Amino acid sequence: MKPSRQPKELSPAGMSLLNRRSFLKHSSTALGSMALAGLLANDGLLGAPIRPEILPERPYAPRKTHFPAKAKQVLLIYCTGAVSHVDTFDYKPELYKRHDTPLPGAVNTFQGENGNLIRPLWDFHPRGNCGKMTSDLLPELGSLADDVAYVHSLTSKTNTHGPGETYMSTGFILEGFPSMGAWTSYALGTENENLPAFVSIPDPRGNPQASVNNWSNAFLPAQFQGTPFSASKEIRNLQAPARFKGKADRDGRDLLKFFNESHLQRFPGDSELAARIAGYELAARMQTSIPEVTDLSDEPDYVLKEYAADDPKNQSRAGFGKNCILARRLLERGVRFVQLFNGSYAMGEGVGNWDGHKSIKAQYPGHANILDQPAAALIRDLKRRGLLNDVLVVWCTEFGRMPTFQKGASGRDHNPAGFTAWMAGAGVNAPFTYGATDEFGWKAEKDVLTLHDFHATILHLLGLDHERLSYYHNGIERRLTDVHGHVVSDLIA
Amino acid sequence: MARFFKESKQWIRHLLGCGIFLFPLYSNAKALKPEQLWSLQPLSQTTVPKIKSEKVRNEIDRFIQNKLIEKGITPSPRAGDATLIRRLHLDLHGLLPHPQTVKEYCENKDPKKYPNLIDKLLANPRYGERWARHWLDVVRYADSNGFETNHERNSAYHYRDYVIRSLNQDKPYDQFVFEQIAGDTCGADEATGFLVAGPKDIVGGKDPLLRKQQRANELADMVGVTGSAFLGLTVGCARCHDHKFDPVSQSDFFSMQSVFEGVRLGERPINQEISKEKLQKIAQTEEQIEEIEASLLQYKPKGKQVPRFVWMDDQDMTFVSHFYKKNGHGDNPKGKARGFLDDPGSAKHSPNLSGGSYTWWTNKSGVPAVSYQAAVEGTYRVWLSWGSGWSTHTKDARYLLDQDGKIETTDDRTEIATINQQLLANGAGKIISKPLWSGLQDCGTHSFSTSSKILVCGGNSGGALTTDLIILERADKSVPVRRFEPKVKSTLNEDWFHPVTTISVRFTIGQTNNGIEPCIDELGIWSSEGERANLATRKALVKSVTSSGNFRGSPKHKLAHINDSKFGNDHSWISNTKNTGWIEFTFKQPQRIERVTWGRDKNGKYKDRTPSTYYIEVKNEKGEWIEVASSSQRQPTTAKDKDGNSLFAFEHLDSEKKAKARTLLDKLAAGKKALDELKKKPRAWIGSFSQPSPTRLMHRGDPLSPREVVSPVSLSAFTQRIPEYALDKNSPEKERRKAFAKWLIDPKHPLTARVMVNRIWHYHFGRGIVATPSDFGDMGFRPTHPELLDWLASEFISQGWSVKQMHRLILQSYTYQQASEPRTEAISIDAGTELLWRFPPRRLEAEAIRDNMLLLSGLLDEKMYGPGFLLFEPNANYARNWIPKDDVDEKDFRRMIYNMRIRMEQDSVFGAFDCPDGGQSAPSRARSTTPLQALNLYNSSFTEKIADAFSQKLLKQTDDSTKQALLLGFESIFGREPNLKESTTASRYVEEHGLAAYCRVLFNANEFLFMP
Repeated sequence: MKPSRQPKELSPAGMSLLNRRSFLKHSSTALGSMALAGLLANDGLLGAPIRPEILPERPYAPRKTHFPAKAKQVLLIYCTGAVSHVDTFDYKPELYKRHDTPLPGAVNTFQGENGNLIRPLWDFHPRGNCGKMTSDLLPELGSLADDVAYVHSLTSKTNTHGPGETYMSTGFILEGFPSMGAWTSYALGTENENLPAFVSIPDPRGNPQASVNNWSNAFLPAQFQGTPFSASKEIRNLQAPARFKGKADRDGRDLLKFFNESHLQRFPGDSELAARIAGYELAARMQTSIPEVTDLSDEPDYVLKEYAADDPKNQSRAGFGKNCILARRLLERGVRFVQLFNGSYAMGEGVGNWDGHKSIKAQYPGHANILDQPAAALIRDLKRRGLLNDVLVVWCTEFGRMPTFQKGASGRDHNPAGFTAWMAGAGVNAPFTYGATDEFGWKAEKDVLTLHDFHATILHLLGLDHERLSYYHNGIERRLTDVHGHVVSDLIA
Repeated sequence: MARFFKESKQWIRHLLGCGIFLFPLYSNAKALKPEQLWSLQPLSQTTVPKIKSEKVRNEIDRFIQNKLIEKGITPSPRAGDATLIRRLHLDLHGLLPHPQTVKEYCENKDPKKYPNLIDKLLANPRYGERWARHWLDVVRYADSNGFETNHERNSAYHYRDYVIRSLNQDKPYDQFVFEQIAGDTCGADEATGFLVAGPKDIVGGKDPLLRKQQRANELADMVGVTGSAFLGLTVGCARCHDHKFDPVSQSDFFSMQSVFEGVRLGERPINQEISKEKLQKIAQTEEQIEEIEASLLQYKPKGKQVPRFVWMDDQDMTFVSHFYKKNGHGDNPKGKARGFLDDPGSAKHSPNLSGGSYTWWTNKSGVPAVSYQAAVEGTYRVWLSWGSGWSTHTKDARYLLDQDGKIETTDDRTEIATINQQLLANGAGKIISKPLWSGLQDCGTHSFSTSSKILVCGGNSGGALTTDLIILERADKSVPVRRFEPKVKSTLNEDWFHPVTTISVRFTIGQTNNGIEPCIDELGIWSSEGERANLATRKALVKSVTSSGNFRGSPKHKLAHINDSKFGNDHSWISNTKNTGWIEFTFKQPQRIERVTWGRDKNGKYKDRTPSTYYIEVKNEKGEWIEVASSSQRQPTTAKDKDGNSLFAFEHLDSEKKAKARTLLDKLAAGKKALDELKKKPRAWIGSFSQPSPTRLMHRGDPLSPREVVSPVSLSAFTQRIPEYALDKNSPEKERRKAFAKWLIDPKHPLTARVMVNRIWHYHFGRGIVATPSDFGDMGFRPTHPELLDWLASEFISQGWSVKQMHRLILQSYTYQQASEPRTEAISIDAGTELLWRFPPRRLEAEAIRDNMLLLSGLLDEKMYGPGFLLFEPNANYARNWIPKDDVDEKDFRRMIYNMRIRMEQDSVFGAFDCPDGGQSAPSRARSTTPLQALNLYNSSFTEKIADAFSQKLLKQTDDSTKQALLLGFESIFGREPNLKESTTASRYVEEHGLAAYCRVLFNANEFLFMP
């Protein structure tokens, strides 16, 4: 899409129709748009797409919300590999009673036949003042219960990891659709134009299974793709090659600017050319701002300790702890959307992420150890610094796991029929529990939600109407929520 | 004003009537009827507007300027020669012209130089490489599967090459369309790569719902991309419900799906013309094989060395050739029953010698599947075996002896046997539905020449033909074999033969398994009469036991141990010579015997010193030694190690010559295998086809909610507009695609030509006459110049669907040749340049930027076609973890069209320049500007490397004059000489920081990155 100076308030079809009728002399003049917007408001016909006005030279400038927002920024903690909800946040006492008996109505799941129901592998205890039952696997995250709204009735459309992750991030199980963060930065720009609007922090062990799908811009302009970097892995090509460093680099930029400006004189007012000049200036600022934000040397020891970022025994844990600190620093500096991954691609069954088909009891404590303290420390720290007033925290995974063990194994198979995610922070109704799975924790039963509903609610908290945040692509006004989604008002404070 | 509002509101309601997409209130709004949608109307017979203007080169300009006159805008002046040649080169090749070419063009006074240049550029193969990229964007081509595993597709490039070739050949577009839908029916196999270019989720799982969903998604992708690429119709939107805007019903969607229902994503053998190089290689290999065979000739057994047995396993390529692809193997079940894996055999039938499995083939009546060539001369008994036990096997497999071994000549064939492959040898056994070995059937004696082949041909009945071991036995021996034996064991071996009366028995050893003195713990000679007892231990019958020599030094090993009825190493005999030795028993009276038993260590502790080559002889009445059994009637120890037992005789050679001869034999096998490989058709990711069951409409698009059956019939919106097709729900798979493709390319089709000329226009001007090139529906843009679009489409058809002719037409228009500088008065009326009052300048695509950097630096490798290069670290993780390569080298310096496109992943430098990710069709590319583009292009090691090469090339061209080099660099990249200020500023920089740093800056300049 070529950036246009004129806001286009209408779908292309609308523009074209109006053109044809000679309704407006000049299709894309501000007058036309204003007239039409007025017309719509007049008739109560709200619902047309709202197109963000993107300035070519300042593509990340903050933009207006559709209505007043409850949250300004998002922190998405994404545990990949499918966390078992019945062993963490979804307490099912029936599983103790029916331990080692068959699941009524059991079917073949991803890896085939299921064995008997298995009680939670870690015991549950009441947490916080609200007394929410969560398990001993993640005690630190459990202790935040008073600030959390749990959603136990999410459902996914697929039971394979890649499409599942993609669905959680983009609203589609197929490839080629923009991610949540891309939609958000497209709609809202960012508060700090010296940093990318959307940062994706991969797990220190590697990229998640659906990889770039999780931060893809797809058909949205490339400005809005997530920029992946972490405390240990910086942006590619951020710094000049050694031989061009220093004065050669700075003088080179001046020479480039000189060439570009003299070229621009032949094309006065060309916004695309101007935008490229601005792009180089922003890149230069990022060369300073990104090392500044990723350099944790000014963090005091007690902070490193609190986040377990100093763990000498477990590099993955220390690495994730540092990523948690980085997430806080990015949010402090106004980055719009921070996506923090816990879990990478599969390096073998149950290694690298929360997949657990064979021996969940042996594998999960390792994953929990990496996640629990650093992530809990991050949320506490955000609260202490007052950032939770602006930041919406979302904890999610691609789908849940079966309340049974797989036949002949000591692990649980994939379960897209019911699973848990939770929210905390700005605009969230907490403490609160929404929806429920059946007595076994298998299928969502009460207040069943699709991920579209979940996405609609997140956008709503950001002041965006999920039905009006759209982008024309191949014949359709595409949305994060496809053609579905309802805002869950119970989750909103 | 009131009327104005009323009417407008209707339109707004209409345009918002997108139901669930935009506005639930209006979800009942009806989609357009076919007669209401502009793009479904027949091409209008437009009259070219008459205008007075000097700036008219062809009809295109009349349409364009007519509209400009209406709006009160004047066209821009014609661009200068230097700009035009740069524009044409970038547009048609994606590569900059050489400064010298620019200079010559500018100085050329020929009035036809512009059209001549167009012709020259169109005739150059760089054109196909540039424009193929556009088409590959539209058809979501990539070289990997996508999804989390994202495995590479190493054979997808055949389709990419097909597109490049088709464009370069100026293949008529109607043919191009037909081939991509049904190329398998007209000798254009690679073309169907189009159908299967989309992503494929290979994680199957065991959940049937998941698999149905995946298959439904694959088919929807084919329908969707076919609809948008050729028709410009978003047919894919009608998967779950009737299209909300356009006249496409859900039934239309599934009817179109039934056209593709039999298409599977995957590889298929490709019928390609065999390249010259390959033909040459085949001829070379054949020659090599002949040479090896000639050198092996000296080892062909002569006289007594003629092999008694030739063992030919159907998996031993030394003897066997295949005529078509096998289906697989039947593995004999465990157990000792007849034909089972561990069948021990009996006195009358051989133990299981099949190696545990047979091969099975699709039974093709009368067609040979396998040939066996023993390369022996003389009369031989033929022993056949096959796979049996199933009712699916043919009942009349034919075994033919082809004398000259040439398949083309059939008059020299004689039938050896017709075999019922459902049963065991000689019709024994029953059909028990288990894969059994038949045992060997004696099929009589036949005369062989070295070139003779036994052909196994399909029978008239049954679905499967099987092959297994065949043995030839020389027929001139007086004592035929009753039983063939398995490999030699160190514990205990039996050698059966036809009962014979003799006074002496000799056991001669030619070779041991480890090359040292042979050892035997006990040798038994068994009577064929009475109790059939071991006569060797009857001291009363034995006159003497002698040997070639005895190992000394240990009381454990004595000749007397050979018949002491005690087993094991401690009671054994060892010869005193390496590898060889013999033992001879002489009886007091002639005895009738049928069996010899022997072993190295029955206790199984020792396995060394075991005779691997031996023969057993008896003395006849005339006092001559007659061989009754030998190691050659045993299965060879390994399939390859013939050890002179069959084809060639090596036994008499010394070890050095033997090794040499064996090497030759290995080479022969390797050569034959290589030849088979060469003659095999390559496989490509172009899909496979099979007859599907009838297609059902899926309620709400849910693959678990099948409703009524739909048949392959043409889309309803076109009824009575163009010739329709209506096939039966069970119509042959290929017919469906043929009918659909023919329907698409009907000259009266309102969309096919319109959509393609618009795409061509789109890539020339950066924006189509219809700005949504894959959506000519109600949600898409309306054409800015509808009459021009129809005129171009008519021209396209009448000029034989020639794409190159369309290029010529557009490029020769004044409209295309206009200058690109903005003019304030025109911008105030048409800021988006939609009316083309100038040529709209635009940023180059990722591919053009990279290709040009390589071109300028002299590193560009112009090798065309074939497997692509990979810009990621190789990776074998099941779910591929694609990490961009940090360093690139020569093999990565081809044009970017040859880069293996890994779905979703982006090249670390150029991916940020809006490269489509291959997930969805990309009919037009975004042109965004991001700081990551700046960082990548300014800081990457790629740029550093290329800048370095560029600076060195410049220095070389200017005899190391930095001053000249920097001017030449400027000219090469910008196509003009610098002005004074530019050259002095550049000189200052170069003096301080060097030429490479300067080249790095040039690569980042807007003047380089924008097409003027």
